[in-house]
Amino acid sequence: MIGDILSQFIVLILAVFTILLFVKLSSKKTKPIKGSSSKGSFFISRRNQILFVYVGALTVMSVLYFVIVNQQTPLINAESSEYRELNEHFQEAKQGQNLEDESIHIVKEWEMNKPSGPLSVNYNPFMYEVNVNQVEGLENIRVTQYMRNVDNQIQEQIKPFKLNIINNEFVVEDVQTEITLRAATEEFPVRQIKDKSLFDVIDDDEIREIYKQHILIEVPAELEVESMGQ
Amino acid sequence: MSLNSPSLKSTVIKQSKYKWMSYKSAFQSLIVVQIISILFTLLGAASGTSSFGLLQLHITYSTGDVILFFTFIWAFFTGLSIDRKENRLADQIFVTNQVSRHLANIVFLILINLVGMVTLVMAGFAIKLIIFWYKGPDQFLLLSSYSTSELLLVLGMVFLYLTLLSSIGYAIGSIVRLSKVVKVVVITTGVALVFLGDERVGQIISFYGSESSIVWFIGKVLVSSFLAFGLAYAIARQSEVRS
Repeated sequence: MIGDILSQFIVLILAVFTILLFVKLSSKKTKPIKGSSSKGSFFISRRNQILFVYVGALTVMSVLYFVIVNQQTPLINAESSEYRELNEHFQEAKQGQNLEDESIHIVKEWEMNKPSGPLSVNYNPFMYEVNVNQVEGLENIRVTQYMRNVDNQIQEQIKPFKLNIINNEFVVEDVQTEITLRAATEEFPVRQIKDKSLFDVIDDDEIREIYKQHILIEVPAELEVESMGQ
Repeated sequence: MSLNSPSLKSTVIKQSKYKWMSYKSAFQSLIVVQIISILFTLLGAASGTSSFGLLQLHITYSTGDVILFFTFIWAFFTGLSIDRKENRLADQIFVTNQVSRHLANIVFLILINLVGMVTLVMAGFAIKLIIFWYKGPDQFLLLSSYSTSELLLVLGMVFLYLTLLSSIGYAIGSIVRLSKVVKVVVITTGVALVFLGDERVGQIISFYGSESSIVWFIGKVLVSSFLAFGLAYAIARQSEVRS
Protein backbone atom coordinates (compact mmCIF):
# COMPACT_ATOMS: atom_id res chain seq x y z
CA MET A 1 0.00 0.00 0.00
CA ILE A 2 2.74 2.46 1.01
CA GLY A 3 4.71 1.28 -2.02
CA ASP A 4 1.79 2.09 -4.34
CA ILE A 5 1.33 5.55 -2.84
CA LEU A 6 5.06 6.13 -3.21
CA SER A 7 4.91 4.98 -6.84
CA GLN A 8 2.01 7.34 -7.57
CA PHE A 9 3.98 10.10 -5.89
CA ILE A 10 7.02 9.37 -8.08
CA VAL A 11 4.85 9.46 -11.23
CA LEU A 12 3.41 12.82 -10.17
CA ILE A 13 6.86 14.19 -9.35
CA LEU A 14 8.08 13.10 -12.78
CA ALA A 15 5.15 14.76 -14.50
CA VAL A 16 5.68 17.99 -12.56
CA PHE A 17 9.39 17.79 -13.33
CA THR A 18 8.69 17.42 -17.06
CA ILE A 19 6.25 20.33 -17.08
CA LEU A 20 8.64 22.53 -15.07
CA LEU A 21 11.42 21.62 -17.47
CA PHE A 22 9.29 22.90 -20.33
CA VAL A 23 8.27 26.04 -18.49
CA LYS A 24 11.83 26.81 -17.43
CA LEU A 25 13.48 26.12 -20.75
CA SER A 26 10.75 27.71 -22.83
CA SER A 27 10.80 31.00 -20.94
CA LYS A 28 10.57 34.13 -23.07
CA LYS A 29 14.14 35.18 -22.25
CA THR A 30 15.45 32.63 -24.73
CA LYS A 31 12.86 33.14 -27.42
CA PRO A 32 14.33 32.05 -30.75
CA ILE A 33 15.63 34.70 -33.02
CA LYS A 34 13.02 36.02 -35.40
CA GLY A 35 12.88 33.97 -38.54
CA SER A 36 14.76 31.00 -37.06
CA SER A 37 11.65 28.88 -36.71
CA SER A 38 8.60 28.42 -38.84
CA LYS A 39 5.24 29.38 -37.35
CA GLY A 40 3.26 27.70 -40.05
CA SER A 41 2.92 24.26 -38.50
CA PHE A 42 0.17 23.53 -36.00
CA PHE A 43 2.54 21.53 -33.80
CA ILE A 44 5.36 24.06 -33.89
CA SER A 45 3.16 26.97 -32.83
CA ARG A 46 1.48 24.97 -30.07
CA ARG A 47 4.30 22.69 -28.96
CA ASN A 48 4.10 23.42 -25.27
CA GLN A 49 0.32 23.11 -25.09
CA ILE A 50 0.39 19.79 -26.98
CA LEU A 51 3.18 18.45 -24.77
CA PHE A 52 1.39 19.56 -21.59
CA VAL A 53 -1.77 17.79 -22.71
CA TYR A 54 0.21 14.65 -23.68
CA VAL A 55 2.21 14.51 -20.43
CA GLY A 56 -0.91 15.40 -18.42
CA ALA A 57 -2.97 12.62 -20.01
CA LEU A 58 -0.18 10.08 -19.45
CA THR A 59 0.17 11.22 -15.83
CA VAL A 60 -3.53 10.77 -15.10
CA MET A 61 -3.47 7.31 -16.71
CA SER A 62 -0.32 6.29 -14.83
CA VAL A 63 -1.82 7.29 -11.49
CA LEU A 64 -5.02 5.40 -12.38
CA TYR A 65 -2.86 2.41 -13.33
CA PHE A 66 -1.39 2.30 -9.83
CA VAL A 67 -4.80 2.80 -8.24
CA ILE A 68 -6.71 0.23 -10.33
CA VAL A 69 -4.51 -2.21 -12.23
CA ASN A 70 -1.51 -2.53 -9.91
CA GLN A 71 -3.92 -3.69 -7.18
CA GLN A 72 -5.08 -6.72 -9.20
CA THR A 73 -4.21 -10.20 -8.02
CA PRO A 74 -0.78 -10.99 -9.38
CA LEU A 75 -0.01 -14.27 -11.07
CA ILE A 76 2.14 -15.71 -8.36
CA ASN A 77 5.85 -15.57 -8.87
CA ALA A 78 8.12 -18.37 -7.62
CA GLU A 79 10.76 -15.84 -6.59
CA SER A 80 8.41 -13.91 -4.31
CA SER A 81 8.63 -14.28 -0.55
CA GLU A 82 4.85 -14.82 -0.55
CA TYR A 83 5.26 -17.90 -2.75
CA ARG A 84 8.24 -19.24 -0.81
CA GLU A 85 6.19 -19.05 2.40
CA LEU A 86 3.20 -20.70 0.72
CA ASN A 87 5.41 -23.45 -0.70
CA GLU A 88 6.94 -24.13 2.71
CA HIS A 89 3.50 -24.51 4.30
CA PHE A 90 2.30 -26.59 1.35
CA GLN A 91 5.23 -29.04 1.63
CA GLU A 92 4.64 -29.40 5.39
CA ALA A 93 0.90 -29.96 4.89
CA LYS A 94 1.56 -32.45 2.09
CA GLN A 95 4.06 -34.33 4.24
CA GLY A 96 1.63 -34.49 7.14
CA GLN A 97 -1.30 -35.12 4.75
CA ASN A 98 -3.16 -32.24 6.30
CA LEU A 99 -5.43 -31.33 3.42
CA GLU A 100 -7.32 -28.82 5.52
CA ASP A 101 -4.32 -26.52 5.69
CA GLU A 102 -4.76 -23.04 4.14
CA SER A 103 -1.88 -23.65 1.76
CA ILE A 104 -3.86 -26.41 0.02
CA HIS A 105 -6.59 -25.88 -2.56
CA ILE A 106 -8.77 -28.95 -3.10
CA VAL A 107 -9.84 -29.34 -6.72
CA LYS A 108 -12.07 -32.40 -6.18
CA GLU A 109 -12.69 -35.33 -3.80
CA TRP A 110 -13.96 -38.79 -4.73
CA GLU A 111 -15.00 -41.89 -2.86
CA MET A 112 -14.65 -45.26 -4.61
CA ASN A 113 -15.37 -48.82 -3.74
CA LYS A 114 -12.29 -50.85 -2.89
CA PRO A 115 -11.40 -53.60 -5.37
CA SER A 116 -11.37 -57.26 -4.37
CA GLY A 117 -7.68 -57.80 -5.13
CA PRO A 118 -4.54 -55.64 -4.81
CA LEU A 119 -4.83 -52.14 -6.28
CA SER A 120 -2.38 -51.14 -8.97
CA VAL A 121 -1.74 -47.42 -9.39
CA ASN A 122 -0.05 -46.18 -12.56
CA TYR A 123 0.63 -42.50 -12.91
CA ASN A 124 2.48 -39.95 -15.00
CA PRO A 125 4.94 -38.14 -12.72
CA PHE A 126 5.49 -35.41 -15.32
CA MET A 127 1.82 -34.46 -15.31
CA TYR A 128 0.89 -34.90 -11.67
CA GLU A 129 2.16 -36.35 -8.40
CA VAL A 130 0.52 -39.29 -6.64
CA ASN A 131 0.79 -40.35 -3.02
CA VAL A 132 -0.87 -43.42 -1.59
CA ASN A 133 -1.67 -43.69 2.11
CA GLN A 134 -3.03 -46.72 3.94
CA VAL A 135 -5.47 -45.63 6.64
CA GLU A 136 -6.68 -47.78 9.53
CA GLY A 137 -10.45 -48.17 9.77
CA LEU A 138 -11.19 -46.82 6.30
CA GLU A 139 -13.82 -48.80 4.38
CA ASN A 140 -13.66 -47.29 0.90
CA ILE A 141 -11.02 -45.57 -1.18
CA ARG A 142 -10.87 -41.79 -0.78
CA VAL A 143 -9.15 -39.75 -3.49
CA THR A 144 -8.34 -36.05 -3.36
CA GLN A 145 -6.97 -33.88 -6.18
CA TYR A 146 -5.26 -30.84 -4.75
CA MET A 147 -2.72 -28.13 -5.47
CA ARG A 148 -0.99 -25.13 -3.90
CA ASN A 149 -3.53 -22.52 -2.84
CA VAL A 150 -2.19 -19.67 -4.97
CA ASP A 151 -5.38 -17.68 -4.54
CA ASN A 152 -5.99 -16.52 -8.08
CA GLN A 153 -8.52 -17.28 -10.76
CA ILE A 154 -6.38 -19.85 -12.59
CA GLN A 155 -6.75 -22.40 -9.80
CA GLU A 156 -10.53 -22.00 -9.87
CA GLN A 157 -10.59 -22.97 -13.55
CA ILE A 158 -8.46 -26.12 -13.30
CA LYS A 159 -10.57 -29.11 -14.27
CA PRO A 160 -10.66 -32.21 -12.09
CA PHE A 161 -9.25 -35.49 -13.43
CA LYS A 162 -11.49 -38.32 -14.52
CA LEU A 163 -10.72 -41.23 -12.21
CA ASN A 164 -11.76 -44.87 -12.34
CA ILE A 165 -10.82 -48.26 -10.96
CA ILE A 166 -10.93 -50.75 -13.83
CA ASN A 167 -9.83 -54.35 -13.25
CA ASN A 168 -8.08 -53.47 -10.00
CA GLU A 169 -6.19 -50.72 -11.74
CA PHE A 170 -6.48 -47.10 -10.67
CA VAL A 171 -6.81 -45.14 -13.92
CA VAL A 172 -6.26 -41.40 -14.21
CA GLU A 173 -7.60 -39.89 -17.39
CA ASP A 174 -5.73 -36.70 -18.20
CA VAL A 175 -8.02 -33.73 -18.57
CA GLN A 176 -6.47 -30.72 -20.22
CA THR A 177 -7.45 -27.42 -18.72
CA GLU A 178 -7.35 -24.56 -21.21
CA ILE A 179 -7.27 -21.10 -19.72
CA THR A 180 -7.22 -17.84 -21.62
CA LEU A 181 -6.06 -14.81 -19.76
CA ARG A 182 -4.60 -11.36 -20.20
CA ALA A 183 -1.52 -10.46 -18.30
CA ALA A 184 0.16 -7.14 -17.73
CA THR A 185 3.85 -7.86 -17.76
CA GLU A 186 6.86 -5.93 -16.59
CA GLU A 187 8.83 -4.01 -19.22
CA PHE A 188 12.10 -5.27 -20.66
CA PRO A 189 14.52 -3.39 -18.37
CA VAL A 190 13.02 -5.05 -15.28
CA ARG A 191 13.16 -8.46 -16.95
CA GLN A 192 16.79 -7.77 -17.88
CA ILE A 193 17.77 -7.22 -14.26
CA LYS A 194 15.92 -10.44 -13.35
CA ASP A 195 18.19 -12.21 -15.87
CA LYS A 196 15.41 -12.82 -18.38
CA SER A 197 15.76 -12.05 -22.06
CA LEU A 198 13.61 -9.70 -24.12
CA PHE A 199 11.40 -12.62 -25.16
CA ASP A 200 11.17 -14.43 -21.79
CA VAL A 201 7.91 -12.95 -20.60
CA ILE A 202 6.89 -16.01 -18.60
CA ASP A 203 8.92 -18.71 -16.87
CA ASP A 204 7.49 -22.07 -17.99
CA ASP A 205 9.16 -24.20 -15.28
CA GLU A 206 7.91 -21.82 -12.61
CA ILE A 207 4.29 -22.04 -13.78
CA ARG A 208 4.51 -25.83 -14.17
CA GLU A 209 5.69 -26.16 -10.56
CA ILE A 210 3.20 -23.67 -9.10
CA TYR A 211 0.12 -25.24 -10.73
CA LYS A 212 1.20 -28.88 -10.48
CA GLN A 213 -1.64 -31.21 -9.50
CA HIS A 214 -1.35 -33.75 -6.69
CA ILE A 215 -3.45 -36.81 -5.99
CA LEU A 216 -3.73 -38.35 -2.55
CA ILE A 217 -5.20 -41.87 -2.54
CA GLU A 218 -6.26 -43.05 0.89
CA VAL A 219 -6.97 -46.77 0.97
CA PRO A 220 -8.04 -49.16 3.73
CA ALA A 221 -5.00 -50.46 5.62
CA GLU A 222 -5.61 -54.04 4.59
CA LEU A 223 -5.63 -53.23 0.84
CA GLU A 224 -2.41 -54.10 -0.96
CA VAL A 225 -1.19 -51.34 -3.35
CA GLU A 226 1.34 -51.46 -6.19
CA SER A 227 2.28 -47.96 -7.25
CA MET A 228 4.46 -47.11 -10.21
CA GLY A 229 5.23 -44.08 -12.30
CA GLN A 230 4.95 -44.44 -16.09
CA MET B 1 33.85 43.10 -32.61
CA SER B 2 32.54 42.11 -29.21
CA LEU B 3 34.44 42.97 -26.07
CA ASN B 4 32.50 40.37 -24.10
CA SER B 5 34.17 37.02 -23.55
CA PRO B 6 31.40 34.64 -22.54
CA SER B 7 32.31 31.65 -20.43
CA LEU B 8 31.95 28.13 -21.80
CA LYS B 9 29.25 27.35 -19.25
CA SER B 10 27.06 30.32 -20.17
CA THR B 11 27.49 29.63 -23.90
CA VAL B 12 26.51 25.97 -23.45
CA ILE B 13 23.44 26.94 -21.37
CA LYS B 14 22.33 29.51 -23.94
CA GLN B 15 22.86 27.16 -26.84
CA SER B 16 21.06 24.32 -25.07
CA LYS B 17 18.08 26.58 -24.37
CA TYR B 18 18.09 27.71 -27.95
CA LYS B 19 18.11 24.10 -29.16
CA TRP B 20 15.29 23.29 -26.76
CA MET B 21 13.22 26.12 -28.21
CA SER B 22 14.00 25.57 -31.85
CA TYR B 23 14.33 21.77 -32.35
CA LYS B 24 10.60 21.23 -32.13
CA SER B 25 10.62 18.37 -34.58
CA ALA B 26 12.33 16.19 -31.93
CA PHE B 27 9.35 16.59 -29.57
CA GLN B 28 6.89 16.23 -32.41
CA SER B 29 8.47 12.96 -33.52
CA LEU B 30 8.59 11.68 -29.91
CA ILE B 31 4.84 12.15 -29.48
CA VAL B 32 4.02 10.75 -32.92
CA VAL B 33 6.28 7.71 -32.40
CA GLN B 34 4.79 6.97 -28.98
CA ILE B 35 1.18 7.39 -30.12
CA ILE B 36 1.82 5.09 -33.11
CA SER B 37 3.45 2.48 -30.86
CA ILE B 38 0.53 2.72 -28.39
CA LEU B 39 -1.83 2.03 -31.30
CA PHE B 40 0.35 -0.86 -32.49
CA THR B 41 0.28 -2.39 -29.03
CA LEU B 42 -3.47 -1.95 -28.68
CA LEU B 43 -4.17 -3.47 -32.09
CA GLY B 44 -1.85 -6.43 -31.87
CA ALA B 45 -0.71 -7.10 -28.37
CA ALA B 46 1.79 -9.92 -28.02
CA SER B 47 0.41 -13.28 -27.07
CA GLY B 48 1.65 -16.77 -26.42
CA THR B 49 0.42 -20.25 -25.59
CA SER B 50 2.25 -22.42 -23.13
CA SER B 51 1.52 -25.94 -21.95
CA PHE B 52 2.30 -26.85 -18.36
CA GLY B 53 1.50 -30.52 -17.95
CA LEU B 54 -2.27 -30.68 -18.04
CA LEU B 55 -2.62 -26.94 -17.94
CA GLN B 56 -2.65 -25.00 -21.19
CA LEU B 57 -2.40 -21.25 -20.81
CA HIS B 58 -3.19 -18.85 -23.64
CA ILE B 59 -1.80 -15.58 -22.45
CA THR B 60 -2.17 -12.22 -24.17
CA TYR B 61 0.55 -10.01 -22.82
CA SER B 62 0.12 -6.28 -22.29
CA THR B 63 3.45 -4.61 -22.03
CA GLY B 64 5.18 -1.38 -22.98
CA ASP B 65 7.93 -3.20 -24.91
CA VAL B 66 6.73 -1.92 -28.32
CA ILE B 67 6.81 1.71 -27.10
CA LEU B 68 10.22 1.00 -25.64
CA PHE B 69 11.49 -0.26 -28.99
CA PHE B 70 10.03 2.67 -30.97
CA THR B 71 11.31 5.25 -28.50
CA PHE B 72 14.78 3.69 -28.70
CA ILE B 73 14.68 4.17 -32.49
CA TRP B 74 13.54 7.75 -31.95
CA ALA B 75 16.49 8.39 -29.59
CA PHE B 76 18.92 6.97 -32.16
CA PHE B 77 17.60 9.17 -34.98
CA THR B 78 17.42 12.25 -32.74
CA GLY B 79 21.11 11.77 -31.95
CA LEU B 80 21.83 11.21 -35.63
CA SER B 81 20.15 14.40 -36.81
CA ILE B 82 20.95 16.84 -34.01
CA ASP B 83 24.26 17.99 -35.49
CA ARG B 84 23.24 18.23 -39.13
CA LYS B 85 24.37 21.12 -41.30
CA GLU B 86 21.29 23.34 -40.83
CA ASN B 87 21.57 23.07 -37.06
CA ARG B 88 25.29 23.84 -37.15
CA LEU B 89 24.57 26.97 -39.21
CA ALA B 90 21.89 28.02 -36.73
CA ASP B 91 24.48 27.74 -33.93
CA GLN B 92 26.51 30.50 -35.58
CA ILE B 93 24.25 33.15 -34.02
CA PHE B 94 26.17 32.41 -30.79
CA VAL B 95 29.80 33.05 -29.98
CA THR B 96 30.63 29.40 -30.14
CA ASN B 97 33.29 26.79 -30.75
CA GLN B 98 33.37 23.01 -31.31
CA VAL B 99 33.46 22.25 -27.57
CA SER B 100 30.47 24.41 -26.64
CA ARG B 101 28.47 23.20 -29.65
CA HIS B 102 29.01 19.53 -28.79
CA LEU B 103 28.39 20.12 -25.09
CA ALA B 104 25.14 21.95 -25.92
CA ASN B 105 24.12 19.07 -28.18
CA ILE B 106 24.84 16.56 -25.38
CA VAL B 107 22.92 18.65 -22.82
CA PHE B 108 19.99 18.89 -25.25
CA LEU B 109 20.06 15.13 -25.88
CA ILE B 110 20.13 14.44 -22.13
CA LEU B 111 17.18 16.79 -21.53
CA ILE B 112 15.11 15.39 -24.35
CA ASN B 113 15.96 11.84 -23.23
CA LEU B 114 14.61 12.72 -19.78
CA VAL B 115 11.34 13.73 -21.44
CA GLY B 116 11.45 10.53 -23.51
CA MET B 117 12.06 8.47 -20.35
CA VAL B 118 9.10 9.98 -18.47
CA THR B 119 6.65 9.70 -21.38
CA LEU B 120 7.83 6.20 -22.33
CA VAL B 121 7.36 4.75 -18.84
CA MET B 122 4.00 6.47 -18.39
CA ALA B 123 2.84 5.35 -21.86
CA GLY B 124 3.58 1.74 -20.77
CA PHE B 125 1.23 2.18 -17.80
CA ALA B 126 -1.35 3.91 -20.03
CA ILE B 127 -1.43 0.92 -22.39
CA LYS B 128 -2.07 -1.54 -19.57
CA LEU B 129 -4.79 0.70 -18.19
CA ILE B 130 -6.51 1.05 -21.60
CA ILE B 131 -6.44 -2.74 -22.12
CA PHE B 132 -7.73 -3.28 -18.60
CA TRP B 133 -10.62 -0.87 -19.20
CA TYR B 134 -11.38 -2.07 -22.71
CA LYS B 135 -11.29 -5.79 -22.02
CA GLY B 136 -12.52 -5.68 -18.45
CA PRO B 137 -11.03 -7.07 -15.26
CA ASP B 138 -12.09 -10.66 -15.98
CA GLN B 139 -9.16 -12.92 -16.75
CA PHE B 140 -6.77 -10.05 -16.20
CA LEU B 141 -3.73 -10.96 -14.18
CA LEU B 142 -0.49 -9.27 -13.47
CA LEU B 143 2.65 -11.24 -14.11
CA SER B 144 4.29 -8.79 -11.81
CA SER B 145 3.02 -5.70 -10.06
CA TYR B 146 5.37 -2.73 -9.94
CA SER B 147 7.08 -1.92 -6.69
CA THR B 148 8.60 1.50 -6.07
CA SER B 149 12.12 0.16 -6.51
CA GLU B 150 11.17 -1.46 -9.83
CA LEU B 151 9.60 1.78 -11.04
CA LEU B 152 12.80 3.68 -10.25
CA LEU B 153 14.83 0.90 -11.87
CA VAL B 154 12.79 1.10 -15.08
CA LEU B 155 13.15 4.89 -15.21
CA GLY B 156 16.90 4.74 -14.68
CA MET B 157 17.50 1.98 -17.20
CA VAL B 158 15.26 3.53 -19.84
CA PHE B 159 17.17 6.81 -19.50
CA LEU B 160 20.50 4.98 -19.83
CA TYR B 161 19.31 3.12 -22.94
CA LEU B 162 18.06 6.36 -24.53
CA THR B 163 21.38 8.07 -23.75
CA LEU B 164 23.32 5.14 -25.19
CA LEU B 165 21.31 5.07 -28.40
CA SER B 166 21.34 8.82 -28.91
CA SER B 167 25.12 8.89 -28.34
CA ILE B 168 25.60 6.10 -30.90
CA GLY B 169 23.34 7.99 -33.31
CA TYR B 170 25.36 11.16 -32.64
CA ALA B 171 28.66 9.39 -33.40
CA ILE B 172 27.28 7.78 -36.58
CA GLY B 173 25.87 11.16 -37.59
CA SER B 174 29.37 12.65 -37.35
CA ILE B 175 30.86 9.80 -39.37
CA VAL B 176 28.34 10.02 -42.21
CA ARG B 177 28.88 13.76 -42.48
CA LEU B 178 32.55 13.19 -43.38
CA SER B 179 31.75 12.61 -47.05
CA LYS B 180 29.05 11.26 -49.32
CA VAL B 181 31.06 8.09 -49.94
CA VAL B 182 31.36 7.41 -46.20
CA LYS B 183 27.64 8.06 -45.86
CA VAL B 184 26.78 5.45 -48.50
CA VAL B 185 29.22 2.92 -47.01
CA VAL B 186 27.89 3.39 -43.44
CA ILE B 187 24.22 3.20 -44.46
CA THR B 188 24.80 0.13 -46.67
CA THR B 189 26.84 -1.65 -44.01
CA GLY B 190 24.31 -0.80 -41.28
CA VAL B 191 21.32 -1.98 -43.31
CA ALA B 192 23.15 -5.17 -44.36
CA LEU B 193 24.18 -6.02 -40.78
CA VAL B 194 20.67 -5.49 -39.43
CA PHE B 195 18.66 -7.14 -42.21
CA LEU B 196 21.02 -10.06 -42.82
CA GLY B 197 20.86 -10.82 -39.12
CA ASP B 198 24.61 -10.68 -38.59
CA GLU B 199 25.55 -12.34 -35.33
CA ARG B 200 27.74 -9.37 -34.35
CA VAL B 201 24.59 -7.23 -34.07
CA GLY B 202 23.15 -9.85 -31.72
CA GLN B 203 26.40 -9.85 -29.72
CA ILE B 204 26.31 -6.06 -29.39
CA ILE B 205 22.65 -6.14 -28.29
CA SER B 206 23.28 -8.88 -25.73
CA PHE B 207 26.39 -7.02 -24.47
CA TYR B 208 23.99 -4.44 -23.04
CA GLY B 209 20.64 -6.26 -23.04
CA SER B 210 21.79 -9.39 -21.21
CA GLU B 211 23.64 -7.58 -18.46
CA SER B 212 21.78 -8.42 -15.27
CA SER B 213 24.13 -6.54 -12.94
CA ILE B 214 22.89 -2.96 -12.65
CA VAL B 215 26.36 -1.65 -11.77
CA TRP B 216 27.97 -3.28 -14.80
CA PHE B 217 25.12 -2.07 -17.00
CA ILE B 218 25.58 1.54 -15.84
CA GLY B 219 29.34 1.21 -16.38
CA LYS B 220 28.94 -0.20 -19.90
CA VAL B 221 26.44 2.48 -20.94
CA LEU B 222 28.39 5.40 -19.49
CA VAL B 223 31.71 4.29 -21.00
CA SER B 224 30.10 3.57 -24.39
CA SER B 225 28.23 6.89 -24.44
CA PHE B 226 31.36 8.78 -23.42
CA LEU B 227 33.34 7.07 -26.20
CA ALA B 228 30.60 7.74 -28.76
CA PHE B 229 30.36 11.45 -27.89
CA GLY B 230 34.19 11.63 -27.79
CA LEU B 231 34.40 10.03 -31.23
CA ALA B 232 31.87 12.53 -32.63
CA TYR B 233 33.88 15.41 -31.20
CA ALA B 234 37.19 14.04 -32.54
CA ILE B 235 35.73 13.56 -36.03
CA ALA B 236 34.24 17.07 -36.04
CA ARG B 237 37.58 18.55 -34.95
CA GLN B 238 39.46 16.60 -37.56
CA SER B 239 37.12 17.71 -40.35
CA GLU B 240 37.33 21.33 -39.14
CA VAL B 241 41.15 21.21 -39.32
CA ARG B 242 40.92 19.80 -42.86
CA SER B 243 38.46 22.42 -44.04
